[in-house]
Amino acid sequence: MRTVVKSVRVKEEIWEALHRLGKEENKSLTQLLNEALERYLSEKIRKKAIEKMQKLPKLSLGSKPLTREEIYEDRC
Amino acid sequence: MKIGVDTNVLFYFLNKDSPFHEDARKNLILLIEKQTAVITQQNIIELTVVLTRRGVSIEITKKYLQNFIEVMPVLKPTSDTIKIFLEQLNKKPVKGIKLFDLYLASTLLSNGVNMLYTYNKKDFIGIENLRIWEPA
Repeated sequence: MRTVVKSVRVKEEIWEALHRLGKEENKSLTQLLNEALERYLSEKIRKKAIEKMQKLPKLSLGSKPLTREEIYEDRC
Repeated sequence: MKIGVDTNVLFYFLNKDSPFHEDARKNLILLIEKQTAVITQQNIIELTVVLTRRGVSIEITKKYLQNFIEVMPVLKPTSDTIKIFLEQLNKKPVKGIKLFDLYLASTLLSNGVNMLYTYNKKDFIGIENLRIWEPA
């Protein structure tokens, strides 16, 4: 589903560049804007994910390797 | 191409005492960056078991799980998972707790994922159509 955007302020030079690109690539402005927003959002999400993982505090849980026995054999 | 991430990778990613820690950290971040890493519901449960068994509280464990869930898609078993599991079982007759690895592989395969990043390559050898990535 798509939403009609009523008014968005865009820098003139960007708007003109978009028009030029649309003509060059034979794509509508809607198509170009959707592609650009998709890429922008995906990049933002990716960066946030990396940041989140890097900030995750490390744990100290011993050097013993993890085996399936440790997970599935009931020792409780 | 999506790559399944085994529970041991998630565990070594968190556990700074492990000799695989730095390697897991480097590789997993790279896979997340490329948006190719996926995990399964089974991995989440397995990680919960091991973290709590090694003394991490449920509350802290939940926070770590939440982080992983937010940065990697979590695959669910599909209607084909059990079919693939039974087919694989005919080709690789395993018993007991080894069946859980077969089910994990079946979940990945039924979701179109045919590569697994693990530090326990031997557990998955012989599973048809599943390629294993175990960094040297």
